[in-house]
Amino acid sequence: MSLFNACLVVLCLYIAALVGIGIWSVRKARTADDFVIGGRKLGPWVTALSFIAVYFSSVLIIGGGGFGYKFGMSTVWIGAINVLVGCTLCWIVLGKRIRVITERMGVNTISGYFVGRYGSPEAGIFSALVIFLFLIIYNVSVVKGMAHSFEVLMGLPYWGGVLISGLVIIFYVVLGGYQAVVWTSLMQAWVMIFSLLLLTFSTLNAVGGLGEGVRRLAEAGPGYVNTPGTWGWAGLVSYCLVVSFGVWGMPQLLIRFYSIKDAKTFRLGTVIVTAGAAIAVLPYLNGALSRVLLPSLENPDLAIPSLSRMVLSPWGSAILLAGVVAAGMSTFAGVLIIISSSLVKDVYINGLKKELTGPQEVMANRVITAAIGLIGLVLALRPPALILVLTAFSWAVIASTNLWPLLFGLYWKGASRAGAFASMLAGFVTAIAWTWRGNPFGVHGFLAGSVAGLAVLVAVSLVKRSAAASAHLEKI
Amino acid sequence: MGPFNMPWLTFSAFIVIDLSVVIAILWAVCDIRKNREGKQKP
Repeated sequence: MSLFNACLVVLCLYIAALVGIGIWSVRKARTADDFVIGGRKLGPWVTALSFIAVYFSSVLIIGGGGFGYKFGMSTVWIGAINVLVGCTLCWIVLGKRIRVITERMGVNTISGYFVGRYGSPEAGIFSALVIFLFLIIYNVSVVKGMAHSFEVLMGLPYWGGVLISGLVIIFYVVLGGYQAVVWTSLMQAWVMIFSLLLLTFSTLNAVGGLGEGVRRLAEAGPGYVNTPGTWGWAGLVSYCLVVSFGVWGMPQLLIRFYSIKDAKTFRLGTVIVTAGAAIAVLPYLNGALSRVLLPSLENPDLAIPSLSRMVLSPWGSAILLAGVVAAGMSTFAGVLIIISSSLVKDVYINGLKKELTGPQEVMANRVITAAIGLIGLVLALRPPALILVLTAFSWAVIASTNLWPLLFGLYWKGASRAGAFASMLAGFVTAIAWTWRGNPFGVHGFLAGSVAGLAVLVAVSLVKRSAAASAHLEKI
Repeated sequence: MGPFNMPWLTFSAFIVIDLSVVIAILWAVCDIRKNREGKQKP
């Protein structure tokens, strides 16, 4: 069977399963809480695996493989820090506290947390607007990644890849809301895990085992097996921090903590998320070893697609494509539900003080989800130059805005309303200005933004304390 | 030189992953014990 036909069969089965889950989950999304956070009744497996699926987008598989090809084995450290900081410590430090406090405050969005914790509508609205604007931009980059995968592996036109992947996602998110997002993410995580393991075993077989593959890679240049190797400490460490610690401020991942059944569920969930996230190392490992088999690739981003064609059967390549698409779809869907809930709950209901009944709120979420999803697709079809520039900003800006007010809000009673809002502004402005200036001194915009946000939060909170907040804090 | 012909510093990345699983399990066990002790208090 040809690669195209194998991809077609696998993708049709895969998309049929996604649509089926979307239709099945309609009945589960009756209230706004159901639609936005799954009614806070999800178990450890579904929560942990959907966290992994949303965290690791197609950018990890394709881009991570490209990094591995370009910089060598030292890039496996990115995967390792993703596991330790982005998953294990994130769940331990943030998970349980977010779950308990958000239930006590009765909030179901990230921006709602800022309103509930700090009594600060301005912080809530600002956070919601940042999430709305920059997550749309982030989604454009995710859709682009998926469409390019269709292009390379199936020979489909770019617009075809955008429409196929985008419309399926919008369909199931509009129908089932968060329930559809997490259950499809659960399936997508398994597809990602299986496809990456398949690629890794085939690659190791082709290079003669891990030890032999590394030995041959060292012959290409010792920098490809040493740490920090050809990348250097500054580049490697700052990238590890950005893609691991940055997660602590990303709403599409933090919302998983709202939706988990109870605080006890975090125990098993933390173990599952840690073990499952170990797949993060595989794209880098495969990318590095692909240099042994494909020594003269002009574009490193083609390392994983080219490797799969070389070491996998057409069926194996089709499964890998499903894995890449699964990674992109789960991230797009997770982001979509966050944007719509921010707009409906935080901006329209809480910000503009409009009242909606339960069914109206669910319907508003569905309409906004469809509209935002379609905007993302249209932008991805012909991305304006500004959008392409801003995709480099999105992760840094969102994480820098949310990170410290969220973390300090959980652990420091002294974090005040003024301090939180000032920290958001400082993180936001610094991350944008820093990235706009081309990351001076090789420091990423997220690092600059988060240092500014941290300093401002502590300084302003110490100067401008909120006396009235004590009783409120005791309550939550 | 560490296992699989890798320098130890590179191989340590895989050790960090294993260590993360150990940390997750230890935390879960501590959380269970803390919860039990909390319940036993009058």
